[in-house]
Amino acid sequence: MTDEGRDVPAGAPDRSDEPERLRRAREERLDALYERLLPLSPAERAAVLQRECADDPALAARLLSLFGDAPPTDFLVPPASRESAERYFGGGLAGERLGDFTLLRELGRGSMGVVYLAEQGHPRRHVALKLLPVAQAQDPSRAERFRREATTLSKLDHPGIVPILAYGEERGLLWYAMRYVEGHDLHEELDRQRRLRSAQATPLPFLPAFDGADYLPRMLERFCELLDALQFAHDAFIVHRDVKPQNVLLGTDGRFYLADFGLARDERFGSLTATGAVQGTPYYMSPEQAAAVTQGIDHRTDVYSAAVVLYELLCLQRAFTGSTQQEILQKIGTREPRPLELVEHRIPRDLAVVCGKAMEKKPAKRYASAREFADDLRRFLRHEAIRARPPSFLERASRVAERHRSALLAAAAAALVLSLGAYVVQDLRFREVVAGDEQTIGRLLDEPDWTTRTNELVLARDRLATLRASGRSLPVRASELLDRFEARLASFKAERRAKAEALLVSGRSGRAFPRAASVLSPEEQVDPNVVRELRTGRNDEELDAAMRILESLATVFGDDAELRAAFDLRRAQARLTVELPTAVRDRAARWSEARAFLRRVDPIRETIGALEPLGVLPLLEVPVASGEYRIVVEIPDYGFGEFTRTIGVDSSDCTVRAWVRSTSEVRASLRRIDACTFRYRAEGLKMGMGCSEEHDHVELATYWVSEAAVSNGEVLQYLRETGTRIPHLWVQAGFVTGPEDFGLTPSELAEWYERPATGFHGLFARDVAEYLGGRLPTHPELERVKRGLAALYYPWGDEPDLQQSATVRLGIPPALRDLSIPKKFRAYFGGTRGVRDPAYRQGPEGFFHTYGNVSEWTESCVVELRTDLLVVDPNQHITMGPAWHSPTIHTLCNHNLWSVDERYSTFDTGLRVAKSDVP
Amino acid sequence: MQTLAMSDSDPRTISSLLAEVQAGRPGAREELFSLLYAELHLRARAAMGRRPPTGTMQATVLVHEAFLKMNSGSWNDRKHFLLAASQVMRHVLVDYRRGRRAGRGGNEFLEEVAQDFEDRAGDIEALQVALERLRESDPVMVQAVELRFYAGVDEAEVARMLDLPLRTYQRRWAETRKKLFEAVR
Repeated sequence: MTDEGRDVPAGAPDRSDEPERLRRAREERLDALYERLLPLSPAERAAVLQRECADDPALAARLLSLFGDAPPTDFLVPPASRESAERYFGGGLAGERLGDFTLLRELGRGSMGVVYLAEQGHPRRHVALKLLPVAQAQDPSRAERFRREATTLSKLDHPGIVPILAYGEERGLLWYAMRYVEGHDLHEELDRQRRLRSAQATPLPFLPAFDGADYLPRMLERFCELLDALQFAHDAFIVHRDVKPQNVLLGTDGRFYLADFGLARDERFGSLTATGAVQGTPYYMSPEQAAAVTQGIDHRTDVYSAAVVLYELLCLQRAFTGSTQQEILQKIGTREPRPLELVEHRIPRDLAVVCGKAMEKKPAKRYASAREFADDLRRFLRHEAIRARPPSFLERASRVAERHRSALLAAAAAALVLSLGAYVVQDLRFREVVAGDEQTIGRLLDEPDWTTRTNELVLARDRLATLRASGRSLPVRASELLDRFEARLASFKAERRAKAEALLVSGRSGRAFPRAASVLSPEEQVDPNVVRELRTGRNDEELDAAMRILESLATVFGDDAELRAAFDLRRAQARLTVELPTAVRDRAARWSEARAFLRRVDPIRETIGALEPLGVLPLLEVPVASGEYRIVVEIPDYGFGEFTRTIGVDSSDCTVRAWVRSTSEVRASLRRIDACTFRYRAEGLKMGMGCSEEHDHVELATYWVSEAAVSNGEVLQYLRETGTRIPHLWVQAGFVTGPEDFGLTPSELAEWYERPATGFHGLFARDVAEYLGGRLPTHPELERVKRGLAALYYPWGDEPDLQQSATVRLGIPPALRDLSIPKKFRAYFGGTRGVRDPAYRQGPEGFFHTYGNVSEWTESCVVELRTDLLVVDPNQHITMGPAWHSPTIHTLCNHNLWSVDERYSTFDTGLRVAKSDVP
Repeated sequence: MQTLAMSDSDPRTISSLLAEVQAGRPGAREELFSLLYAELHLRARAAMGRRPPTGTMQATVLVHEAFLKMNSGSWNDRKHFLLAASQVMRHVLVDYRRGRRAGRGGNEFLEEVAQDFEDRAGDIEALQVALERLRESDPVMVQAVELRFYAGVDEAEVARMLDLPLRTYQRRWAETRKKLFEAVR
C-alpha cells in the first residue's frame, strides 16, 4: 500500500482536481519511464520519449527536464555517510575484531551500549561482547561508568550472575566480553507465557506453562536463585538498581541469570550516576527511584524491583501501568497495585502477602534483604508459615493518608512539606500546630476562591485527621472546623465531578455545524421551527478538559473508590491491541511483516479519513484517543483486513483479532462496485438518521460486496473454526452440538444451511464478516447496493403511484413478538428462502434479496437527532431492508436502528460482506 | 541541571514526549522540538573548547545519537523522531546564519556544521525558504529532504518511512532536487 495517492504529487499541484485513478496511473507511468530513462544516454532518452510519450508531450517534457541541466551531484547529499555514523554508534561492526574476539552479529542495544554475539579465538567459544560506542566513549563520565560496570562484574563470581571474561579499550571504543547465555530474557519469557495463555502461536517458554500446576513451584525456585544472586551482589556492596525482566536472562538450562549492571552502584563509594536523574525502565522502579531521591537508594530498591518482577511472574500483568512515564511514576509513588489475589485467583494468600511485603512503598517495611525475601518464599514452597504479616486495617487506613500526602508533596510547596515533617515529630508544639491549622482552615474557608487552595486544605486536613487518629483530643473549635471543612471538601468534589460529567456529556455530543439546506424539504426550509444548526460529533477538547479534572480529583481523592471506578483514566486513553489469529499466520507467508493503520471514521458525514500508520504487529495496548476508527491490517503480498471499532466508549479496551485473508480469495465471492458519488435522493424520507440530516450525497470509493447474504453454513463454519460461543437464540431454538438439534427434517436441514444466517446481534455479525475476510458494509454502501446508482425506491421502478401495489406478502403471522424462541425459529425458517434463491435476484443491480428475506446489518453507527442535537450512538447500528415477517415492503431504502449487543439478537437480521478495493 | 536532562543519559523525557507526539497531544511536537534544540545548543557550547572529533560527521551524528538514546526501534518512532530532530537541525543552522549576519558572534562547531551543509545545499537560508514553500504543494517531499539530507537516512529507508515505492521516491527525489536547486541557485 502506498500513501502516494493521498499526497499532492511533486510538480503537479495543478492536477489535483484530476480524478484520482487517472492521476495515479500517470504517476505510475512517470515512475516506470523514469526508471527506464535513468541509465540511458541523452540521445537514447529522447528516442524513448518520442516513442512512448507521443500522446502526452507534457509528460515527456517533465521527464526530460529531470535529466537536462541537473543539479551538481552532491546537491542535497547528506554530509556524513550513513555507514560511518552507524559505526560511530557501535552498529555495523559485524566481522570486526576486538582483542581475541570476532564480532558476529548484534544481539541488542541498551542505553549503555551495544551487545554483539562474538567468537573468541582461544578457547574457541561464543561470547556476548558489550561495547561502548565511540560516540559515547568520548564522554568521560560514560566511559568511567562503563569501566566501573566491568569492574563490578569482575567482582561478582556467582552462578546466578553472568561472568565477565575480558575487558579492552581500542580504536576509541570500550568493550568487555561475558559468557554468552543461550536463551532469552525474562521479558521474552513473560511474553511467551502470555501468548501461550491466550492461545496464540508462540515459541515455547522455558518455564512450565503458566496455567499448569508446575509453573508456580518451578518459577519460584528459579526466582529464589535470582534473589540469591542479588544477595551476593548486595554482600559485595553493589546495588543493581535496574532489576527488570529485560535484565534477567533465562538459559536453556532453565537458570535465571542477573545481567546488565550498567546502572549498578557501589554503596561504599557512591556512584557516577548519582545525578538525581531518573534512570531505567519505569515499570519496575522503586518508589524512592520514582521520586528521584538519590539518598536512601540502597539494596532494598532491588528487593522492591525484584518483587515487581515476581508480581508479573505471578499474574502475567504489570503491577503498574500507564500511558505516560509520568503516570507510571506517579502510580508507583502513590498507588497500591491491584491485589494479586484479585488479578489471579490461583495465587495463594500467603504468596500475595510475601510479594506485597517486598513491594512496600517504604523501604523500612520491606524485607530487610533479598535473603529474607527468598527465605520467606522458600518457607512458602515448603508449606511452612511465612514471616510476613498482611497489613492490618490500621496500616491500610494510614496508607490512604500516606497516599494523600505523597500526592500532595508533589504539588505543594517545599515549605509546606518541611513544616509537615517538623510537625509530626515535635510533640511539644502540638497545640501551636493545631492552632495554626485551625487558623489556616478557617481563613481558607472564608476566602471566596477557596477552591483554588485545595492542596493546602487537604494538607491541613491530613494533619488534623492524623492527629485525630492518634487518639489525641482536638480542641473543640478545631473539631468543628474539621467537620465543616470535610463538608466543604465533599461539596467541592461533587461540584468538580458534576462539571467533569457535564463536559463529558457535551464533549460527546460535540460541535455545532449548520444543517445542509438541501436535506430539508421545501416546507421545512420555510418553517421557522426547523432547526438550522445542529450540534454533532465529538469535542475532544472538552473531553480532555473533563479527563483532566477527573485526573486531578483522583489524585486528591484517591481513596474514593467510586470516583476511581467511575473515572478510570482508560476512558480517556483507551488501549488498542491488534493481533493475528494463528490461522492467518499459517496461511500468510509474510505475516510477520503485517502492519496496522488507523482511519478515522466520521459517522456524521459518513466519511473515512486517510491512513495513519500504527506500526508492525503485534500491537499491544497502544493508547488511542477515543473515537470511531477503521483499523486496517495489511500483510504484504497477501491481503488486508478492515476492522471498524468504537474505541474508548464505556472504558473498554479494544482487541482486534485481525482475520486477514488473501485478497484474491475474498474477491472471488464478491462483486465490484466502482467508485461513485451516491445521492440519497431522500426527500420526504427523513428518518432522523445522519444520512438525511447533514448531507444528501456521499463519495464512495470502489468497494466489493457479496451478492447474497451470509448463510447459516458459513456462520456454522465460523463458530467451529473460532470456537466462538453459540448465539443464545440458536441455543434456545434447540442447538446443542449442531444444527441437527433444531428438530428439522433432513431435507429442511439441508435447506437451513443455505438460509440467510440470523439469530445473533450486531457485533456477532461484524465478527462473522471479518472472519470471512471482509467487513460489514457501511450504510451508504449497502444503500447503493440495494437502490442502485439512481437511488431507486422500488425494485421495479420508481413511480410513487406504485406504492400501493408494492405489497409483497411473505407469509408470516403478525403476532411474532409473543412467540417462544423455538416458534420464532420455525417462523424464520418458514419465512425465509435460500440466500441465492434465483427468484430473489432483485433490485436495480440484481443482487439477491435486497428487499425481503432478512434485514441486514451495516457497520454504521446510528446518528440520532434529538431536538437540535445529532448524537452518535456507537451502541446502535443502522440495519437496512425489511425482513421476511414484514407484511409490506415499503421501499428499497428501509432503515432500522438496532442495538448491537447480545440482548438484541434477532431472527430477522443477517449480513452481507463488503470490503474496500484498496486499504 | 534541568536543561541538561537529555545529555545525561535521560532518554525518558524525549521518548515520552515522542509517545505524546504520536498520541497527538497538541504542543508535544513543539516541546520535543525545543528539547532537542536546547540539546544541540548545549552540544555546540560544549564543543567550543575542543575540536569535534571528525567535524563533518558530528551534526548528523547528533541526530542519530539522540535517537539511539531513546532506545526504541519501531519504524514509526524512528520516522517521527528523525523528522523532529532534522527540523531542529535546520532551524538551529538557519538561526545561526541569521545571527551571524546580524553581527552575533561565531561558534566554531556550528560554523563547521553549517559550512558542511552549505557545501551541499548552497545558501541554507534560501533552502529553508524554498522548503517552506514546497511544503504547501508537496509536504511529503519536504519530509524526504529532512530525512535524507538533514538526518542522513539512506534512500531505501526514506522511501519506506514515507510509504513510497523506491522508484517513485527516486523519481520524485530527482524532481524535488531539481526544483530546490533552481530555488536556491
